[in-house]
Amino acid sequence: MKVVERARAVWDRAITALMVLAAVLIMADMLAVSVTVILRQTLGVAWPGYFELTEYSLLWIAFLAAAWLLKNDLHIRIDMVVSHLNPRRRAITNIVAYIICIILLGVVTWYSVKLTWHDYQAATIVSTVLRPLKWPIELIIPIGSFLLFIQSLMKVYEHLTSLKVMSRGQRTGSKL
Amino acid sequence: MEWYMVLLLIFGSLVILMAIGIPVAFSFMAICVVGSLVFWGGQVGMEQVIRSFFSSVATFTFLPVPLFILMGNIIFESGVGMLVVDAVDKILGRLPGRLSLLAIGAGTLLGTMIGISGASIAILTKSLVPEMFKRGYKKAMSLGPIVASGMLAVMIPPSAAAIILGAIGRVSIGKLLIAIILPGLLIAFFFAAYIIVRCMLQPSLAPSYAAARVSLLEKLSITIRHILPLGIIIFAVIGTIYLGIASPSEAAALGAVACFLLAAGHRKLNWQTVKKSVVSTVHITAMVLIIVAASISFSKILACSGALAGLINLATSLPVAPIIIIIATQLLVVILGCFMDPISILMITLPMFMPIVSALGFDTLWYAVILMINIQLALITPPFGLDCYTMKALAPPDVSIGDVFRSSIPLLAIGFLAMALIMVFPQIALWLPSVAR
Repeated sequence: MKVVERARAVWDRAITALMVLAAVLIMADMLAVSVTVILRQTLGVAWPGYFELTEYSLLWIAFLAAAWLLKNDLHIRIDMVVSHLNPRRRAITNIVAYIICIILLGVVTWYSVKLTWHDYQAATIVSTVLRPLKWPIELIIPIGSFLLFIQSLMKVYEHLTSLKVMSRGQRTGSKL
Repeated sequence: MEWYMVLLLIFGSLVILMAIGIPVAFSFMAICVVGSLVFWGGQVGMEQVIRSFFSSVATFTFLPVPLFILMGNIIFESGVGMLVVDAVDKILGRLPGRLSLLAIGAGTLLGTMIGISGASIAILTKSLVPEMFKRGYKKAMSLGPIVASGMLAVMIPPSAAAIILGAIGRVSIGKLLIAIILPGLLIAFFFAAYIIVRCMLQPSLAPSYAAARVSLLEKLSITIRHILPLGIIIFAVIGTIYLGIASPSEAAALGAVACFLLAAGHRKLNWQTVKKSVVSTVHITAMVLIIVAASISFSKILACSGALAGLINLATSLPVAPIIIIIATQLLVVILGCFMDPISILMITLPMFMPIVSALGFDTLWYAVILMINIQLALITPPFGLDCYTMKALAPPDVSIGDVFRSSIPLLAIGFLAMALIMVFPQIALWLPSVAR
C-alpha cells in the first residue's frame, strides 16, 4: 500500500511539473512575441521564424497540462445527468466513462507512437521557414496521450475504491 | 446510409458520451476515432486524426487564447480590477441605481483588459455586492447588472471566445475583434438605460444615497492614475490591430505585457499573483486547446461523412426566407445554451452553421458577432448558466442561485434585443471593421 501511495505522490509531482513547464512556455511566448514586435517596429529587425516556435509551443502546452487537468477534474464535463444520480450510480457511471477514456486514449497513444516513430525514421521535415524535424514537435502527442491514459486508469481506481467504501458502509448500515 | 441518419448517429453518440460524464474533449475524440475507422478507412484515418491534432492546435491564430486569458487573470489576481472599480465609483455622481450603473461602467472598462467573463464577475461581485446590500439594493438591481456585465468582458476586446470562434469558424480574427466593439458598447448602453429607467420607476429597488464627496482635483488625479493607464492596454490590443501595427496574436502578447506593467506600476505584482495567474491560464488554455484539437478532427469527419453536405443542401433548398434559417440556428444555440458551456456549443455548432451561413449568402463576420452575443447569453441562461454559478459562489450566503437567475432575466432579454437589432441592422457590427486598416 505504501508503495502505491509513494508511486502516486511521484506521479502527482511529475504531472504538476509538466504543468509548470506549460506555464513557462506561455510566459516565453508572451515575451518572445512582444520583443519581436517591438524590434520590428523600432529597429526594423524581423525574424520570420519566431511565430513558428510559438505555434509548436501551443501543441506542447495543450498536451503537457492535459493529465494535470484530468487529475484535478478540470476538463469541461457536462454533468447534468451524472449530478442527478445517487452516489453509487454516479460512481458506476464515472467508472464506465473513464473506461471508455482508457480505451480511447490507448488507441490514440498507440497510433501517435506509430506516427511519431514513422516520422523519426523518415526524418520528416515540417515544410516551413525553420524546416524543423517533425518528430520532436509531435512527440508530445503520444507522451500527453499516455499520461492521460495512466491518469484515466487512476480515476477508475479512485472510483472503484469509493464504490467499495460505499458498499462497505451500506453493509455496516444494514447490519446495524 | 442517408445523410440525416449519419448526422443523427454522430450527434446522438456525442450527446450520450457527454451525458455520461466523459470530458467534452474526449467525447469529440471518441467520435473522431470511430469516425476515422468508418469514413477514413481505418489505420490511415487514425493517422489523419493524429496529424489533425498537430495542425489544428499548432497555429499562430490560437496564441491570443492563453494571452488574453493571462491578461484577465493578472488584472484579477493583482487587484488592479478592484482599483478600476474604486476609481469609477469615485468619479460617478449621484444617479438613479448608482451602484448598478457602476457595475456596468466598471464592467465595460474591465472588458478592455479582461477576455473572460468569470474574472470580471468575480471582481465586481467581491467589490460591489456587499456595498449594494448595505445600501438596501434589491437583488434584481444588484445581482443582475453584475452577472450581465460579465458579457461585456467578452464583447469588448480582448476576447478569448472571439479568437476561438474566429479560428474555428474561419472568420478574420482581427476583424471580429473590431466588429464586436460597437455591439459590446451598445449592450452596455442598453443595460445602463434599463437600470436608470427601472430605478426611476421603482426607486425602492436601488435606494438613492449621498455618495462621498470627491473634489474635482481628486477626480482628475484618480482618472490619471487609474483610468488613463487603461489606454495603454486598449492601444496594445485594439489600437495596434486597428492601425495595422500588429496581428491579433502579436497584439495579445503586447496586451499581456501591458497588464504586467500596469500591475507592476500599481505595485501589485508579486510572485503569488504571477503564480496564480499563470496556473489559471494554463488550466483554461489546455482545456480549450484539447477541445479544439479534437473538435477540428470532428468537423472534418462530419464533412467527410456527407452529413454536412446533406444539411447544407437541405438548408438552401427549404422554401423559407434564408433569415428564418439563420434565426433557427440561433434558437438552437439558445436551447444548447441552457445545458452547455459556450466552448462546447461553438465546437458543435460552428462546423455545421458556418458553411450554411456562407451558402445562404450571409456575411460570416456578421453571423459570428450575433453568435458571440448568443453564446455569452448562454452563460446566464438557466438552469446551467456558468456565470450565475460563479456569482453564487462569491456572493453573500443568503443569495440563492434562483435569485441570480431571476435577477438576470431582464438583462437576458436586453441581450436578445441587441442580437435582434444587429440582425436587422448588420452595420452595427460591420461598420467598424470596414473602416479599419
